[in-house]
Amino acid sequence: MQILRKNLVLFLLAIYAVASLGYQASAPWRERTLGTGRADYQVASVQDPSEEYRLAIHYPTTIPLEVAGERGRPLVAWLWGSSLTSSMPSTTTWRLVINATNETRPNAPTNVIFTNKDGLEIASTLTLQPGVSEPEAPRSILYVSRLADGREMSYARSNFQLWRDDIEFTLTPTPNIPVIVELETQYAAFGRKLCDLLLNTPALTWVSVLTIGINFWVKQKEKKAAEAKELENKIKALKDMPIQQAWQTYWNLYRANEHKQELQKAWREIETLYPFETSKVIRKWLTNHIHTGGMPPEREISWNDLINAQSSLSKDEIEMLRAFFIT
Amino acid sequence: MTMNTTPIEIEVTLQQALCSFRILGAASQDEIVQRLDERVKEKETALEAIRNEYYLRGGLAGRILLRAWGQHNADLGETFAKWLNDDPVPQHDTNINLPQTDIPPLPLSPKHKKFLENFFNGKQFASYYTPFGPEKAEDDPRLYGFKAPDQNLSIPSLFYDKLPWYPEIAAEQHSFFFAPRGCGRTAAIGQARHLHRITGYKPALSLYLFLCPPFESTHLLKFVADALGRALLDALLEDAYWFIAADHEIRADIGRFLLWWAGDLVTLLRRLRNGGLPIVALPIERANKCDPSYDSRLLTDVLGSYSSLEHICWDDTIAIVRAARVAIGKVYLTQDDWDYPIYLWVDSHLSEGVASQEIPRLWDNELLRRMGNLKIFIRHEFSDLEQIRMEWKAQHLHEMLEHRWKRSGTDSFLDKEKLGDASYMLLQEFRKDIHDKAHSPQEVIREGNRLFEQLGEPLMGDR
Repeated sequence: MQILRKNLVLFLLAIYAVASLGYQASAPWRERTLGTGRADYQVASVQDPSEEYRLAIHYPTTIPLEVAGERGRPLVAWLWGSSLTSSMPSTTTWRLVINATNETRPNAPTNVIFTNKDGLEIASTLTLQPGVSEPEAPRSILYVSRLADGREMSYARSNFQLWRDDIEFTLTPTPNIPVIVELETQYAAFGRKLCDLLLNTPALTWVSVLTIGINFWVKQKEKKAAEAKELENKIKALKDMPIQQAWQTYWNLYRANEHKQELQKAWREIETLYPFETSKVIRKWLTNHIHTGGMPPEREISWNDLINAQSSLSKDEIEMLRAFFIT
Repeated sequence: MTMNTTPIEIEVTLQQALCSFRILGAASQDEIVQRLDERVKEKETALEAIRNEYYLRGGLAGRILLRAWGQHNADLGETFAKWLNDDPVPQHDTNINLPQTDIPPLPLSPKHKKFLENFFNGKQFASYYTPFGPEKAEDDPRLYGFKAPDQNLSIPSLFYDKLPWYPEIAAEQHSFFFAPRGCGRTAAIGQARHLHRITGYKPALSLYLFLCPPFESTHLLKFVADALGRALLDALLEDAYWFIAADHEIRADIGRFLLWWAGDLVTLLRRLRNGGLPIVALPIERANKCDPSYDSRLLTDVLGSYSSLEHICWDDTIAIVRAARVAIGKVYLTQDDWDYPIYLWVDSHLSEGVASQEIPRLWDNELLRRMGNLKIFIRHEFSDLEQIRMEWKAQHLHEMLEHRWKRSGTDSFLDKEKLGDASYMLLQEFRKDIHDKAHSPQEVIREGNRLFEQLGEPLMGDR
C-alpha cells in the first residue's frame, strides 16, 4: 500500500496507458462486437441503361433496429461508410434516397427522422457527387432516428433508392464493399464518445507510456546509485570492523553480491594493511568449517570463490587443502 | 574414505596433511590429525613413512603432528613418543640461531687482517686459522659450534675450558666469581650460556644480566624480565617446538609475557624475523612442496592468539621462568626428571665504589636466589665474601696456548725453511715459555699475534 501511495501518479498513468492502448487496439474488435444491430450491407451495382457507368451501393435487405434504452429516446444509427464507385458523367446528378420502413409491420407508416452526427435533422436524400469513390465517401452520412411517435420497433427496414432525375434505378445487391450500420443507445453513444475523448488520443497514450518509461529509467538509475552508495558504506564499514567480523561480512557479501570487483579491492586493501591478521583469520575460519567428516559443505565454502576472494592463501594452498580434506 | 594401501599413497597423504597443517596453522591441529587418522588405515605399514616424513624431515610441524596424533591415537602414541624422546635436543645448524650476545667483529688491526686474508688466499674466515686467533675467545664464532661457511665439518673452538674454575661456572649452585680483566670471563659466560640453553647439550634456562645502576628492586626486575625475554626469544628462534607443544596454560603464560616484553605482537614478530625466522604473511605458492621454513607461521599463529600482560612483578617473572622450565622438560626428556636448572649469569662493569655498595646486596637478593642459580662475575675483590678466583697461572696459560696451537693445526703451516731458523725458534720458544708478565690469555694471545705478524712475512712467499 505504501508503494502504491508513493507511486500513485505513476500507477494511474500506467492504468491510463494500458486502458488507452487497449482501447485503441481494440477498435476493430469493438466495431465487430460491441455494436448492436451491426449488419453488413451488400453492394448493389447498377447500370444506367443509357450510359456506361458503374455505381456500387450496398445496403442490406433489412436493418435490424433493436429497442434499447428508454422509450422515447432516439436510437442512433450511422453509416460507417459507403463505398461508392462511379464513373458517372459529370453532368449527371444523382440522388441517394434512404428509406426506412417498419419491418415487423411493413404496412405501418414509418416515421424515421434522419439526423447527422450532431443530431440535426437532415434529408434522407443525398446528392451524390460525381467521381466520388471510396474511401473518400463520407463515413457517417446520416443518422437514422427512432420513430417520432415513440413506438417500439423491432425492426426497421431501410433501403436505398437511386434516382437520376426522375428515374429510379433498381438496386441489385451484389457482394462488394459493405456499408456498416451501427446502432447504439444514447448511453452507449455517450460512453463511446467519452472513451474516444479520453482514451482515443494516441499522443496522450504515448506520453503516458513515455512518462512511465522515463520514470522507470530514472528510478533504475536511482536504485543503482543507491546500491552503489550502500555498497560504498558497507565497504567503509568493513574497514572499521575487527578483522574476523570483516572477513565474515565480506565473505557473505562476496558470495551474494554482483559487485565482486569492488568488494575484492576493499578486501585487498585490508589484507595489505593487516597481512598477518587477515591470514590468520581466514585460516581459522577455514579450519572451523572443516567438519569431522572431512567434507566442507559446499554451500558454506565455495573453493573457487575462496581462491578469488582473498590473497592470503594461494591457489596452490587451497587446492592442497581440498585434496586433503575432500575425498 | 580413501584406503591408503600403497606406499606412494600413504606418502602423499602424509605430505598433504603436513602441508595442510602448515597452511592452516596451529589451530588446525585437531582437525588435521583426525582426518589423517581416518585416511591412513593401515598404520602399522605406514610407520616407516610417518617416521621419515614427520620425524626426520617434518621439522617443527612434523613433530607437532606426531605428538598430537600420538595423543589422539593411543596405539601410535607409544611409538611416536619413543621417537620424540630419542633425540631430546634437536641438532640444528646454529648458523642463524646464535644467542643474542652479539659477537663483535674480530678486533684485528687492518694490517693484521690483510695479512691473514692474503696468507689464506683471501678467504674471509682465514683469520680463524691463526695459531693464536682473536685475543678474546668470545670473538671466535666457533666457540658456539659454528660451522664454517664452506666446510661441512665443524671447526673446533679455540675456547679452552679445562680450567679449575670452569666446573664452578657450570655447577648448579650460587657462585660468586672474582673475574679480573682479560681472564676470559665473557668467553666463559658465553660458552656456559650456549651449553646451558633450552636446546643446548645440557638443557637449562640461562638468563644473562649485564647490570648497571640503579639496583633498586623495580630496576632489577626490569633487567631480569628483559633477560628472560631474550632467553625465551633465543629459544624460540632455535626451535619453537618446546613452546608450541607446551600445555595451554604454560604456553599462554609465556606467550603473554613475550608480548609484554616486546611491547606488541608486531614488535615481537620483528624481533623473531631479525633473529632469522622467516616471519612472513605471504601465502605458500607451491604448496605441494611446503617450505619447512613456514613452520614459523605456526609460531606466529600461537603468539598472535594471546594478549599482552599489563604489568609484571617478581612473582610473575619467577612463575614464567619456572613455567619455561616445565615446558622445556616435557619436550626434551632425559633420564632424570624434568627439573632443568635455571642460571642467572650476572655480569657488569661497575666501578669499585659502586660495586662495593651494590654487589653484596645483590648476592644476598632472595628473589634472584629463588629464581635460579645465581652466578655473579665481578672485576673487584670482596674480602668479606667468598669468591672463586678466575686467575690464570703460567701453567694454565701454557696449557691454553697448547690447546689453541693444536686445535688450529699451526704446525702444518709453519714452514721452517721459509721462516728461517731464528724466527721458527722464536715462535716455538714463545709457545713453550709463557712470559712472566703475562697474566691473562688476552696478553698471551696479543703477544703471539704480534710475533706472528712480525715473523710470518716469509710465509707469504709468492702468494
